Amino acid sequence: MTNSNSNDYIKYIAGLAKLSLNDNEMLSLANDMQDIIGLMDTIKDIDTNNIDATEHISRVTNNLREDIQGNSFSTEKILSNSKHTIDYCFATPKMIE
Amino acid sequence: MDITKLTIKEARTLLDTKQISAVELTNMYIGRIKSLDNKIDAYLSVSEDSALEQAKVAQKLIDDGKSTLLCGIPLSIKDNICIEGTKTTCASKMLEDFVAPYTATAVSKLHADNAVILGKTNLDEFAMGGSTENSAFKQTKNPFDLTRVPGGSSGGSAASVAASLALGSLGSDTGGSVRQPAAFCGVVGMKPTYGLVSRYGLVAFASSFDQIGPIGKTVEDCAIILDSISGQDPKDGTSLNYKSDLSYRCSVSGDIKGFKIGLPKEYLTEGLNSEVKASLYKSIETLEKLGATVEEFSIPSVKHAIAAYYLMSSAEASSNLSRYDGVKYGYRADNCKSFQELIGRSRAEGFGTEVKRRILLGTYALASGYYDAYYKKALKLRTLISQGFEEAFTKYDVVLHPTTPETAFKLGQNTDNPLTMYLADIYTVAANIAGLPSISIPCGYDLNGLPIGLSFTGKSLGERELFRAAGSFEADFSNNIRVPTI
Repeated sequence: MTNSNSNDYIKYIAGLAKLSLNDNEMLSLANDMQDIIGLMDTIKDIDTNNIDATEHISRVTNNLREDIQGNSFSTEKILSNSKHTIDYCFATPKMIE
Repeated sequence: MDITKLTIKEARTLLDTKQISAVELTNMYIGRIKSLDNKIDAYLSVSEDSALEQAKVAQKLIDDGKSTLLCGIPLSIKDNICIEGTKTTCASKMLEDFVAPYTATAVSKLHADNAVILGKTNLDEFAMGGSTENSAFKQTKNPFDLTRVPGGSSGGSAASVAASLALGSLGSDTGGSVRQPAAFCGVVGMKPTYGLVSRYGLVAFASSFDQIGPIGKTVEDCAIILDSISGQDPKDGTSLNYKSDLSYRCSVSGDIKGFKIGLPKEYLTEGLNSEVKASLYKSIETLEKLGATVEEFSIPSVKHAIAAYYLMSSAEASSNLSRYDGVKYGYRADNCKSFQELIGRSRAEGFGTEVKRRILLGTYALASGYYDAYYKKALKLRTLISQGFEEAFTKYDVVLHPTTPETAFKLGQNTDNPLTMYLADIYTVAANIAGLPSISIPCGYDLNGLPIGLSFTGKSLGERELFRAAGSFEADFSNNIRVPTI
């Protein structure tokens, strides 16, 4: 990532990450990211051909339980942390025009 | 009784011999929190009423001769671990009002052993940081020097134990967040093997790295807590079907005659503070005196552990934290006219700067065109680092290294330099990358009187060897342990 395109690219990344950053914050974070990605670049040239990727360190595979119905949380409990509910549902601004 | 030197083991004796009641012990800690925590700021919330209720129940069990090792023992819990009906804020404005609808399995196990939960401790927001300065609510101070950080992200937990505001604590360790603050605060902190302790109820940061771990004044206290909280949990698909045939507590007293200990050369290079290095070599002399052999060896791949860790953990964080959308729970921006505005503004206004940095870095590493160069490359390095340790454990019982490159730094010293903060994790992240157990114990003090931490890292499920090595060293060093004056 170069200086010239870093601000625009961070703006694009912030959009993907659903972060509505203001201009000052965008500039500050773009500067930070420049340094941080500089450190990350140190791994780019390491030869890792023929090395498998380790997606997860867990030694557990196919850890399945019996398909037995269990208790769930009550609707009231799950809704209790939402700032806005209507008729036992989460409420959001209108999604469809 | 000197509360500043009291351990879980000693408190157990006092409780069982009726020299003190569980309610009296709990009141002592609550009183100390009330009088001293305004200086330390270790706690985000204190549950006085429920703690005293738990103490009464514990005392009844003690009176009936039914106590367990943790029955009536006052503990603190990092505030990213859920306790039903209480706030779990992750030190974030995003979860400022979040009341946990269920209890983490690790805490349920402490409840089952009738431990007393005093309250929830401060942390870096969503456990992202190494100084607890990223908390949205308060700045925890190091009990050894109130102008310095306690480390992080479990800084509140480590400070609460060091300042004797709890007998022990649960922290969480994603890249060193139990061990580094334990080192900075002069106490013992342990990260178990990945999967040994259930993550159910631990608010996710980087799910393939996160582990809940104990913090205590002694190795044995950490072993007692680990004996309680470990074990398979049907609610965590990554928890291991493993139970040590001997309690971890029993491993602490073993000797280390004939132990082979490896010291990675890569951890002895520039950046390691001279006083920390001197303390490491003095510790090696102690270990050799105790009958162990210590030799240097090489794991070349650990040089890249920091970069690999921050890429992988941030990628996982960017995915995990996508759940915070202002709808189901958490901060919700006002007066939003569209769904997209609600999500974007709730996240921008609810998250702090470091969390945003990690989300951006993780999104960047996973973005089209960068995935192979960064994220996938880091996953391959994870393989190399894990293989390096596997090979080491064919020769060595445990691996030895400093916990941190330097002692606790000044408040505000690194807040404007995130890269410097990241590099402070240089010796701790490899254990998380490889899923290995690791323990940090006090091994000395620098010229400013600040604690220095020594780490042992073990093979997968090698907790018993870790406790044996750490316990032996501690037994020799215990007369040198200092208590902070607050």
